[in-house]
Amino acid sequence: MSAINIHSISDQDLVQKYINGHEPSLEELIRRHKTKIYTSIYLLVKDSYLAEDIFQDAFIKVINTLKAGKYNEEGKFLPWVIRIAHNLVIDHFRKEKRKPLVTTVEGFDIFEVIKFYDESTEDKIIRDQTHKDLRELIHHLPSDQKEVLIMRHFGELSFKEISDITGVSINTALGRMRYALNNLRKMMLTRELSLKNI
Amino acid sequence: MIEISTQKTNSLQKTEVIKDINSDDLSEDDQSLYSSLKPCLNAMAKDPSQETISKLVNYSKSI
Repeated sequence: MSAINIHSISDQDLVQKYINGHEPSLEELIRRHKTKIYTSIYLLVKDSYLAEDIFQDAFIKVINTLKAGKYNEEGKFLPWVIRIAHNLVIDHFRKEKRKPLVTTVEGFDIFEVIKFYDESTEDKIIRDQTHKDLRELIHHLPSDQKEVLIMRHFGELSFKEISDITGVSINTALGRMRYALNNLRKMMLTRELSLKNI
Repeated sequence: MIEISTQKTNSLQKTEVIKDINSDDLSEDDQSLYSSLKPCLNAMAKDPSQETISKLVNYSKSI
């Protein structure tokens, strides 16, 4: 199969091909979803080394399940992997006997490597600072609200899928998203952070 | 009685499904705020290392 073809195959077909022994299908599935899955993990654990470990453990479970012929998910591949990763994150915090609550923003700054073309240096500085402030606000959300925001945005999960993964009702998941957005709005007002700078 | 109960259950399930279809059941203000936040959220995206991906691919081939 050519490299061009594999990119147009659906997740479900890739899973089936992989189960049937087509190894490149796994790499394509990882490549396709790595950012969403890794970011979802990273934003909860806030440690890139730990996030790498959990990402790896999640996919080892995926590989073992698929190779053992035990994959019976009728839903989409991504929500299934995010559920596995989410459970591993929960396991981690249970072992650590602490909740994934937010303290301070970790030092990475992706904005340093993002190029904002057609902007003055001053505009760029303001935008960078606003993004940094906003990122800090997101990290300060209560963990259950941040979790829904992350799954919704990075996992592109529906509220039904989020509710299945987190074990709450759809209304609760939706409510947490609302609270997350309202809390962000309040924190932005407190800090006089303007969205027009984003 | 049983049939009535079943109908009620189905009705509830349908409501849940419909709610999920309209999952952007957020107020206009909330949706607007979320849209404004998206660029920042997108900029927070990170990738795992290539080494981790290679380990997974090799692990898969080894079993």
